[in-house]
Amino acid sequence: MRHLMRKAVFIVVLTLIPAAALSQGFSKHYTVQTVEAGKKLYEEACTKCHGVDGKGVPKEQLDIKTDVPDFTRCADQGEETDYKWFKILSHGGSSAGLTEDMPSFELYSEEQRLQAIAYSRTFCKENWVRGELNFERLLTTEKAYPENELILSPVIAHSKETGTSIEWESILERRIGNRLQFEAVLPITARNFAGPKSIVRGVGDGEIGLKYVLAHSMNQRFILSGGLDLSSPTGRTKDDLGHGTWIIEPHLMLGKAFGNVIFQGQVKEEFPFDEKKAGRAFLYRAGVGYRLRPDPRGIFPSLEVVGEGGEVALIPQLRYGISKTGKWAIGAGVRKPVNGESSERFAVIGYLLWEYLGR
Amino acid sequence: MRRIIVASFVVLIFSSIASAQPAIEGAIKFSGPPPVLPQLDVTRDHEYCGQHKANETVLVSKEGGLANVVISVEGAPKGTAKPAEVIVANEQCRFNPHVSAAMVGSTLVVQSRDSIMHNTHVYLSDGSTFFNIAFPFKGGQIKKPLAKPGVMNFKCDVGHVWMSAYVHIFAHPFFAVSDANGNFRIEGLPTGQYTLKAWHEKFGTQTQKITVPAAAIKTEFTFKGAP
Repeated sequence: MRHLMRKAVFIVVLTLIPAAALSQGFSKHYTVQTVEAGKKLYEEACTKCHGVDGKGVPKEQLDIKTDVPDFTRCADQGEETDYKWFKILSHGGSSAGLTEDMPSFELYSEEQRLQAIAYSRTFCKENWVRGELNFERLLTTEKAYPENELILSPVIAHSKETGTSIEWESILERRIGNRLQFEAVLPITARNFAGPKSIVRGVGDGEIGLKYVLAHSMNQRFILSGGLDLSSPTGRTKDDLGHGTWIIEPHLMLGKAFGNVIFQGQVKEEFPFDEKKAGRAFLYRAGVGYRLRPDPRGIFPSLEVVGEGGEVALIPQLRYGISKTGKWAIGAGVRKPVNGESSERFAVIGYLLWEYLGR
Repeated sequence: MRRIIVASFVVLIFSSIASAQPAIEGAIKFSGPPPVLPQLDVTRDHEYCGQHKANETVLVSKEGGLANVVISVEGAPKGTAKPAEVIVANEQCRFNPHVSAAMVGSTLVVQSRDSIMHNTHVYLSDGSTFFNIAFPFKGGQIKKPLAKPGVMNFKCDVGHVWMSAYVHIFAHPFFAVSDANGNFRIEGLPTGQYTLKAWHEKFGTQTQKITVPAAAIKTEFTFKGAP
């Protein structure tokens, strides 16, 4: 049964990846005609503030309050979606939570606004992993997109064996360049509320990790990343807060949008240094969500299935983007085992995320 | 040394009892010799906008009339006048007119008559943005309903730092803007006691109690400031 489940997950993941990757080709997102039309509009309307070279005119020359963004910096413009830029051009910067100094270009047609966006994108000369591939975070499946985020995630679980436990996971993610991301995870746990004397508190096994984007396609709304995490034996083993050994954890993460339906998946294998203290484990996580609206501020319902060995659980959940910019969001759901092999009865999981870089 | 100029607003108020619609007519005067303000430097787009633009902050006629003063009646009844359109145009790299006024319910029409990019950023009295719209081509026009009283300040954010304009919005129709000779006229105000308010972008605001109708009365606002 265990092998069958593992094979099934692999089959799903390994058929989706080539299907998406092969179909992407390397075609550009915009046509040459669109870009050329956009160049004329850019020169007519945008150069006054953004400059002929896209680097931005100093705000002092314009007598405005906010620095004009540098379009040549892929790290800045690459993370922003065309949807966001179109919204800004249509309704001004404040409509997307940005400066009121950015005007609306409502006198241009919708097609002209898209053309101007297409040309503005040409100032970034790298094949940047675009913000369109930054899919909504699920509660447990790790994202393939490299982020600059701080995530605080509480998990309140009730188990037949250990009673109620609260785990507070702090995750720091830092994007390095286009494709790489560094990550550090610190779990803090309090467990067993049978009585005041029996409460166990402490730090769990901390982790550091790297993630690298292996393939991505703006056209196909597809992203595939590989990661390598290292779990350290910082948690006390006598209180079952840690494994007591270092663990290497290679993993793959996938994201793919089918219109407003977002699929994300992750497979991970854990290789402990000392197999007497911790066994090898295979984890799989996958989720499907539906984007109710393209705006960062909105509700994103989804369903995750997570498994480790023979234990399988479902996590129905909701994500809510708090801010117009999408820099703040919360998520919550309930993890419920669906087979009899888990001692956990249920767990309430949540997160608060803050994207600390970017506009 | 900075020269301090004292500006006197002399407001002559005539209220005609015989007329079906009593009117307040007046003239805003500037005491002393008309100031000669240096032209504003054009810092961008010289090919289209030229090197300098006239400074419209303090406009005094040969006879001493002060233009662009907004005169309004505080606490006035709503009146029966119909809201209308008030047009502010980006024209020859300036806003035309420099100062105007409208009633709540009117429509603000902003146009561009220049074949150069302008960016009309309109601020409300509290400093917040009412709207900020780019006018990338000649002939562009937008319309915005005016829902609340207040003062709107117009700027052009594409580095045309010399461009500015004001539009005053009132909840009633009893207001006027002094013309090039400093003259103004407010019609249809019912009899009673009111406070007349005169605003100038440089010299600020003064108020005066008036009675309508009455025999011709003469009153005076005095402002101090350096244009």
